[in-house]
Amino acid sequence: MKHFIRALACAGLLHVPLAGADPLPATPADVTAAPDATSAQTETSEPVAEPAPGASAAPAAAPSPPVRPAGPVAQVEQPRAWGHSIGDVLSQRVLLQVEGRTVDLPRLPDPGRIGVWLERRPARIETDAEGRRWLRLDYQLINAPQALTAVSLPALELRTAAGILQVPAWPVSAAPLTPRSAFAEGALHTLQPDRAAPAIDTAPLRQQFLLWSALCGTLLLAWAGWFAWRNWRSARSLPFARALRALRVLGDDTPEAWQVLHRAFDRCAGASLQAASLHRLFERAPQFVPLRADIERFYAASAARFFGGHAAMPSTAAAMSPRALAQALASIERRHES
Amino acid sequence: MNREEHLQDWREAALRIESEVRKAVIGQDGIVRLINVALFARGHVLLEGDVGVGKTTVLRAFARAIGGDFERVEGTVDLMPNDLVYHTYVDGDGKPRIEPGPLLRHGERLTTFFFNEINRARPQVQSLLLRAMAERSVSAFNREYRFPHMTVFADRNKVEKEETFELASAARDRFMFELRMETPREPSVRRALVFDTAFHDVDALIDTVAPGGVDAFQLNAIAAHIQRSVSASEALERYVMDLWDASQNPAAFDIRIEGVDMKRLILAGASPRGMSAMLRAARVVAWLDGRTHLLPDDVRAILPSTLGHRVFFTPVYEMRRAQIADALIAQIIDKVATPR
Repeated sequence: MKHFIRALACAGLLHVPLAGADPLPATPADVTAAPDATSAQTETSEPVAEPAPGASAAPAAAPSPPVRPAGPVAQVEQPRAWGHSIGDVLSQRVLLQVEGRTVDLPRLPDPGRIGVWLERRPARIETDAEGRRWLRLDYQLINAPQALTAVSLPALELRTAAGILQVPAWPVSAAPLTPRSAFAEGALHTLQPDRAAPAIDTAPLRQQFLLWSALCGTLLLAWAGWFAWRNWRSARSLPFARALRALRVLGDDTPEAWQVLHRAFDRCAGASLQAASLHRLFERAPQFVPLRADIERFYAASAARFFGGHAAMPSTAAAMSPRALAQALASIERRHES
Repeated sequence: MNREEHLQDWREAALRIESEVRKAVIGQDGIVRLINVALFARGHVLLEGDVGVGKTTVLRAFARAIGGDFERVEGTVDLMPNDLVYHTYVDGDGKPRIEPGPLLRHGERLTTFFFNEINRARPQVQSLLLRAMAERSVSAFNREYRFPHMTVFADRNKVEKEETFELASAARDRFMFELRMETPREPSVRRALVFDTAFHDVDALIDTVAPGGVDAFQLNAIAAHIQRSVSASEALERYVMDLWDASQNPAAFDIRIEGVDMKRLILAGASPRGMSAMLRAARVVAWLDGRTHLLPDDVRAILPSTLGHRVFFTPVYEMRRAQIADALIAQIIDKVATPR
């Protein structure tokens, strides 16, 4: 669509049939002037060359020819004069020579908005293969006219060490995004919507997505189920996990609590344990060795409690409570299981 | 001196006896400890073992350490009960004489009666001995002879089976312990037994044992005192009752032995006399350990020696007694839980 409009605009400007050979040169290469040795003003100036947006609405207005400024005129490589639309960047190169000598430019033109249509980007100095220095000025077209419009790159006066260089204004044509009315006949009154993009058939993709999602979900469910089952089984089969569950409802000081922990030790060792046979527990479950002192204290306290009569009871206080010991043992047991 | 101090003194004496005997018998610490327990629990001991492992030596050493009179009888197939009670001979004047036999000869001073190879003696002899062991008395010459301080040690050779009379279950039940004495396995002990000349002359070896560690005639009183001073808690009573039940019905305690139908294994479990002997021995173990209360470990320490020969198997399993009894006792110790 954009190329179509641009072609229309170009056809109107140049008065050539659209269906001919491409009239647009590929590169901007208009050299407008040779350097002039006359002295000129000492300030860089930007004469307002652009027409007001209202004025530019005149359809297909032919641009006025470049105004030759008085004074030394720089050699300029101009951008293509026609066929521009919003967003295009127009590059202008100014040869920094006065009377055949390369000159310095102490101050570059400021970047910023130039009238309604253009914005100047930060200028820079380039050196070509022959060692000549060029001032490169990039202007971006930042507005779209409603009809084909002439827009001028501004004239400049560049103050150099060797004098003033004049850069004349350079008119270019700016095309609208779309004409208001292209044909006005038949069904061609209004703009047609863009052709709908062809819809890709997503059914197989969706099917695959659903399949993999289902597989992934099943896998996650299975893993979660296995994890829950393992925890459930551990809580019922691991001796100290079982003891801990039973101890939650028993008081620490009840004989049953102590007996529950004794049975857990017995299950863990595979035999009924007493203080003299504790080594069997550590041979079979060496992971509990770090708690050996606590376990031995528990057995000593238990022996005092169940077999030693009341005289030996005070040693009970030094031992961990059955629940605390069961908790420590269950945690080691769980780590060891996983 | 109060009761506790007495107990403490006797305990030290008991431990001294043990250390004295260990001078003469090396590598048999477990056996020495159990014989010492039997002495202070006033129980009789049946020793079983290979030929020449030191059964006689250990008994002689104990006899010397505790003092009192020692008598020894060799079991033979022609030994008759009367031979223990008296013997007859014709004296130098041609007159028939009757003298008290080995059992009566020492009267109440008899403390150690050693019956060597008891399974070679006829059942009639064993019966006489059973009464002497159970009641510490025999009737002879129209009167009753008492030997209240006697401890019977019998020895059974397990190698030979010919011309032997296996002890009846009632006879075995009267022994507090049946101890199996094995050849020491520790290399240093084995080397010493072979190369150390001190172990070659048994008489000289026995002489190194200091006699009279304790007054042998006080042992009954000491034993009674020990039994009174060591208490058993309710939990321990439950444990012993469970052990008893397990000896009668092991299947109820989930006791399993490979290749054995547990429901058909037991003909008779431990007897009440056996269980009371076990408790007496356990109390002595606790006392030797310096405690006045029983722990399950005390019972477990003497369980194999007291229970192993008191559980009787059905004939189909009796031939494998040694193997099954060991496994059964080990399983009872492992499966009967305490405190409960």
